Amino acid sequence: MLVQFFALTSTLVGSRAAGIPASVIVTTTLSGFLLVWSTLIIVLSAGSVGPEADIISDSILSRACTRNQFIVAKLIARASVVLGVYLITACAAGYAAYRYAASDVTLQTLATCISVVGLAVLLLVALGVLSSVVFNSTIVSVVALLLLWYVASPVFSFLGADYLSPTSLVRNLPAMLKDPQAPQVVQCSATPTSLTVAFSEHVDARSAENPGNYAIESPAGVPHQAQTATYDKTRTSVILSGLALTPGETVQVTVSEVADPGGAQVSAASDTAACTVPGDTPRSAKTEAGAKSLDRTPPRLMRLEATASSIRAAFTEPLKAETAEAIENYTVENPIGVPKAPRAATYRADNRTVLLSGLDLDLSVPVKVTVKDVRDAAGNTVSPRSNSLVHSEVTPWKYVLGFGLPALAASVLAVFWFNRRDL
Amino acid sequence: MAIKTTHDLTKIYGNKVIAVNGINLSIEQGCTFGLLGPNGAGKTTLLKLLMGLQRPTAGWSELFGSRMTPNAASVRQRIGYLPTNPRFPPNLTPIGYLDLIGQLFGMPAEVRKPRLASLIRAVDLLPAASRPIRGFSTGMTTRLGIAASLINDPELLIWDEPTAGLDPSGRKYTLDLIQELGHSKTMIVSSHILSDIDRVCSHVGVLHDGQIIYSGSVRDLKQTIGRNHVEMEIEGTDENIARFRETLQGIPDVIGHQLRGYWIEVRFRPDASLADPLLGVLRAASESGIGVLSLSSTKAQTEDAFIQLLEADQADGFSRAYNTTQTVGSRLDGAPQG
Repeated sequence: MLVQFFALTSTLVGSRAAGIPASVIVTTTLSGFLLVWSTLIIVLSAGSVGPEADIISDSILSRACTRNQFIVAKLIARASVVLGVYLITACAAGYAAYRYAASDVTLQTLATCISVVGLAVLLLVALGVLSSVVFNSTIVSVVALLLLWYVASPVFSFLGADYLSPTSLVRNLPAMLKDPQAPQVVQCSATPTSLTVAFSEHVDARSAENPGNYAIESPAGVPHQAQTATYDKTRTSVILSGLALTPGETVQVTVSEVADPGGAQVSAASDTAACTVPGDTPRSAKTEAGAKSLDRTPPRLMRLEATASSIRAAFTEPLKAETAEAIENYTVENPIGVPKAPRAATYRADNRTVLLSGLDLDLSVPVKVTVKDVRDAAGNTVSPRSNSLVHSEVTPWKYVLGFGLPALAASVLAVFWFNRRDL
Repeated sequence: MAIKTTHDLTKIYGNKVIAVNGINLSIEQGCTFGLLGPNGAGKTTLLKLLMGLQRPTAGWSELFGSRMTPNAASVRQRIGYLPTNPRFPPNLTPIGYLDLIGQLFGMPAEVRKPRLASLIRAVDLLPAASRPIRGFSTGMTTRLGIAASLINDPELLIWDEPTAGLDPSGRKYTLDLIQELGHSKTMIVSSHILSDIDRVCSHVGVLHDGQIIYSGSVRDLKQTIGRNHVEMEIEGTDENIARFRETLQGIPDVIGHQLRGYWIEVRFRPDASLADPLLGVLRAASESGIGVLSLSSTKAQTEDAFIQLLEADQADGFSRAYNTTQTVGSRLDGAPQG
């Protein structure tokens, strides 16, 4: 585990340069515990009682020690060792990925995923101790656990109990890790030569420092173009400079295609802010609003809602119906990487949504929709940077129950069985 | 006062093996109780049931007035247990192991440390005190087990085959220790070696096929069964031995004899006093020119008693299903019952 940790740490600096998202690194680390190091955990916990039964009887249980005390202490000791190593490795790798890699996770999603995988590890320890209480042979105990851990996953999926399956957790870790909250424009402040736009959270510097992502009007209808955009990470704000704004005039800025590290683009509902340039307005500087500016903003895929048979995709602006209703313009993956073909696409202009129907979706795994060649009324094609979204109903608490309750049950069963066992 | 009683204690493993069968046993405080039986008789199972290490299939046992269960730690606080061929954590040293045991008994460090040091010295493990247990011989492991059983200064010692696998000096050491401890503590010692039980125990329970077929004092056992014969080691010519054997037939109260090499076993009438006929036997030997090298009764008495008990138990056949101890007792002319 430590080797894995050091290997990952050593690649972090390089991964930052290569733009590997933190979610990928964290997923790799946690998946390693669930699918690779779990074998070591199985061996460690499955040999905790059975092969030592004689020693336990002669040395410990013939003294002033109850069975309950012993087996609970054994469970705690095994769990402490395994969880200790796991938490040190996972937390260090997770934080390093969050801090140094291309961060697309939040501390909250990171903590949630580390906790859920920790519960899965705890379940494995409890099952290991239980099997070592039930079977005298370590080999039998290990084989039983390996079968349960690796082979039973498809059975769980078939029975609809996907949340008991470690492979299901591995599959859904990326969706659980990604930052679910879209950034919002919270305020702006202006000087005659610059405009500062503050965001509600960290945003991706590359998208934030593109001046083209800011539509500035002062007064309304008169566009201005910033020369440079500089992201201030400590204040989560962008300074747009190279402007020639008129003191006393109102400035409105509309932000597009700026995304947070998780890839969530700025919310359409709060992508605009307005402020006043300090100072008096020179009469000569006042201008009449010119002709309405042309729409050069591409439409964006804003939101997905999914049922077992359909997906509703919402866009940021009205679309050309003929492009929106062409089913070849949509790629649906469920789970990610497995294409599903919709039978029809129906556009509703009143709420700017497209209904993709005739699908057979498994909502226990993520659904990804990618759009191409869909245009708005002005003919702008949907931006390649905001043409796909992932819908996920993966909720960590289901895994908390899926692994936590069996872990508790296995622990109670281990105590019960150990009390019934002859030594 | 009985400190240990069992009530119809029965243990059946997996509906396949009957290890202990309806045992009712009472052990008085202060006695050294020997649990005697051939290999596989159920001695270790019985002791594990008494310790609460195994759950009885039926019946129960009580110790110090409390029923023994796997979680009866407070009762085990007053017991020192030495398992047969004990296995201890191989990576620990004797000091580490005894310290662990002392902590399990809740002994504070200021009591625990001096006690474990004196026990290690007492069982002669001082030179090996810093070595891992994994390299210990059987004798060293047993001595460590003895120290572990004494660390909590228990009222009752339960030692399962403490002389198993020991060399003669180790065996003597252990038996001497049992005799010494027997003066101050109640002890239950199991063994299949008759002479060990004979030497150190005041009371004995004979276990056969999972049942107690005799329970009482060793003295009663000998008196009941063994007093009607002696074994003599003799020397002399064949003619003299033949003359001696003829003479034996004429001695009152001598009912038979059997020659095995240079050993001759002479049997007397059970109700006869041993002094007069024995005097006649010795006089006959002298008059026949036979030298008497040794005359033994104790060992043979116990062995014969034991064998006779087993034979009687087997001979009882189906009647054992109803009340074994009573049946055997009646065949033993009123031997005390368990």
